[in-house]
Amino acid sequence: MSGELEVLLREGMEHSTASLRVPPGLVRRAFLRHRRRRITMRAAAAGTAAAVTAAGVTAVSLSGGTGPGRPTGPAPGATSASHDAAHIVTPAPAAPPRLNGCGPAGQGRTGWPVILRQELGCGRFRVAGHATVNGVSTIKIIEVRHAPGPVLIFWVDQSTYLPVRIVMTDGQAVINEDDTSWLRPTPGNLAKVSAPHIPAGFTRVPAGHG
Amino acid sequence: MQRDPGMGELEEFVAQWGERLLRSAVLLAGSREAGEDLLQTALERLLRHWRRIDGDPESYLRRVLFNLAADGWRRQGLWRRRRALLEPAAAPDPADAVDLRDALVRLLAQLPPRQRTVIVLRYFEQLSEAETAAALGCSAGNVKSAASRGLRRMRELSDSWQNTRTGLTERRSG
Repeated sequence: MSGELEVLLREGMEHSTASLRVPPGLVRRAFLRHRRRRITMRAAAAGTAAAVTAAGVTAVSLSGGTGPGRPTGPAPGATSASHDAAHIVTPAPAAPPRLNGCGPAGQGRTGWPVILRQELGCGRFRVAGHATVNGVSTIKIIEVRHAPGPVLIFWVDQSTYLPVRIVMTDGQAVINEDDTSWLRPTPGNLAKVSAPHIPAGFTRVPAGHG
Repeated sequence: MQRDPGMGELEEFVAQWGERLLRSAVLLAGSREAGEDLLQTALERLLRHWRRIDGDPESYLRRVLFNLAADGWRRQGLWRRRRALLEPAAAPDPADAVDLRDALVRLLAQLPPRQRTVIVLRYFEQLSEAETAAALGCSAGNVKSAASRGLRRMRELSDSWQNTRTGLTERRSG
């Protein structure tokens, strides 16, 4: 039954699936699972970035910035807003920073150049090239991982070493991507570090929620 | 760069394409429940990569679905779970009143994932060998040999099923 088999098979596949309908909850489940995963990854990325930026921002603020017109300063990524979820996610303060392989962040490590030099020096990160991101000349720096898991990639401003773009990948695909802009270290901006402005319609939730 | 879709947009998208995709997913996965799981997993992946999709999302989702069925799902251990679901129906029951057409669909579930995926793409999705190869990221030669092996295996299974059935019918009438 040479050609007959293919014909019967085709008819059988059509017939056996003809009455199928997408169950109502399927789209919602997919959407919520995706959103939950994204919020978790964003919080993780924000927590990681915060661990590094905490020390860097302090140093930049103390030194009075890096020059006119050059954005510097606070809002080190410790707070992320998910517009899908209308949530503000603040990582738990006790969350262990991943970027402490060369010494705890914020303890004697001041300034992005110092931090990056240390992270690169101990092999935790490596320079992977140069690129222009949002009009800024940057250095691309990739986390070195010896086992499967999320990989962090920074594009840092060539002149200030402040991150311009932070990307988290699962080793193959991008999980989360954030472009960062930096504010001047004015008292008003510095106050935002401890008391971030929460836009109307958003609620503050602990990390991992949402 | 596109923004991510909201749930309303995703629902509209699924309303337009979901039914056919679910039918493929069920055939690829071997059961309704496993097919729904497969489609949901593919939708999650679509959402994750939405902003980077080059081309239309429907084609992308289709490719994800096919490739998950052929490779990824098995690697994630879901293939073993799915096999367990299918094992009770693995051997066609000659006493069943199902016709050969429906038996063939059940036999399809006994094929290895890649052969089954190729068969579904060629004979349900009605893709050409070249289109199937493009969807699965392999050569047309691989598609041809997988389809040939799959059909040969199905022919053997259906012959054996028919022989058993004929023997049973003869014993009943004799």
